[in-house]
Amino acid sequence: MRLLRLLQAPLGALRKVFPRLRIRECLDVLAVVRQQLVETSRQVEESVVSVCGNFTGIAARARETVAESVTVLDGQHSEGSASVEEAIESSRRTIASLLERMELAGKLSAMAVSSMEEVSRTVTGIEDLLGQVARIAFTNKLVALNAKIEAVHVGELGAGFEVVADEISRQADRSAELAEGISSRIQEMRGRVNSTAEDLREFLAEDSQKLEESRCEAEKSLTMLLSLHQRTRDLLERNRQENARLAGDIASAVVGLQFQDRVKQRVEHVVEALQKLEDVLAGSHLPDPDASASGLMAGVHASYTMQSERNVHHQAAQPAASPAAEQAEMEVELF
Amino acid sequence: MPRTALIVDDSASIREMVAFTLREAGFVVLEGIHGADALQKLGDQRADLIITDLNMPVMDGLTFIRHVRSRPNSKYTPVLMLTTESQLEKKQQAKAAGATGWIVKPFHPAKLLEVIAKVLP
Repeated sequence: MRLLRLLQAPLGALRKVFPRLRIRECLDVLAVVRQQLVETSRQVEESVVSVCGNFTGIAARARETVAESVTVLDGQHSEGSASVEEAIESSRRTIASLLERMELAGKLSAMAVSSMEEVSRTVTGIEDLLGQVARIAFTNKLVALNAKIEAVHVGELGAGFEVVADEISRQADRSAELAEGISSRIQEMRGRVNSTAEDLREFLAEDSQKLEESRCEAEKSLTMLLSLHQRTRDLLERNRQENARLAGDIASAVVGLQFQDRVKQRVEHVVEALQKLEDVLAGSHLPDPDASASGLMAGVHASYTMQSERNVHHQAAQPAASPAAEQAEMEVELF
Repeated sequence: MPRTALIVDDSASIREMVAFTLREAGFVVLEGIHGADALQKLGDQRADLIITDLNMPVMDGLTFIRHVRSRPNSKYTPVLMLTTESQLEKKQQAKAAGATGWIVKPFHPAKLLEVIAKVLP
């Protein structure tokens, strides 16, 4: 501002105030200051560009993370893959089917036990019949013995009858042996059937309880899995919302960082003005009518693009004037 | 197919910020540091959208727009001028040169995308 005010004084008077040597010194300082401004502006721009690059990375990573999680949860990560909900539902159906088959196996076992009990009852009936066969064999044996006694009484004429009686006796013995053998095997079979039926009954009693326990356990695990999945989904949803907030924060930061562009332009205009001032002070533009104080001021004013620059200029040139408000909203006009 | 946007600005930070905003919205972004550079980068391609600054070295925004409008494939391409310039006279010049809209910086990403949605066919 001091420089601008200095420009308002006639150059001739300026030269009188400052000896030639002092002007040379001022020019050197001005050149350094100008270069400092240019360099500062460049460095700030580099930093802002770097920050913007980081934003791009942050936004891309956040978006990729959420997209990847959604893909996995929705089962779209590879062709033919199922979502977690579908996998849980599929497991539930498989477990239900297994439990149904186990239940069916239990029912079939119960039917087998019932059949075995029937077999056992049939076997008892057969044993009764075999008892009758044994008794018939015994009776035949007695008949054969009596026949043999009678044959002996008859003497030689009863010899043939005695042979028949012996044969009947042998057949009776054979029948008795067979009945006993059959009875023995049937008892053995009944023992096995009863033992197997007993084992099956015990298994059924135990199995029914375990089946119910397995059903409860499977249901509990699936419910837990579903709950865990729901928590993961909730977490993902929170991440998505956080990501949206992050995008909003980045958008605000983008607006904020644009101060750099405005500052850069203002610095460029100041640098331009300083350059002109240096030229004038160095005497290289003395014949130029712009070298007059008002001409220089007009040149500086013409370089402005922002209303805020013009406001500052007017305020500096006419300190009594009230400052105009800085533009805050994005101004848009479609033609 | 993603749309192509051409950003023309001598400020690297503004190019970066606009490019970030547009890429997030799914655009493929081309960048030019001034009008002449942008025309060269564009070549025979047709951009779906052009966002340009006004005051740039080598070739300013107004000259650039006139060049764009003289190309048969860019006659109706939406061209938004994104500038710090606030003078009415400059705005009228941009309109006369063929600009579709005038936006004064600083821009808000969401609002910029709203404006773009309005001007894109």
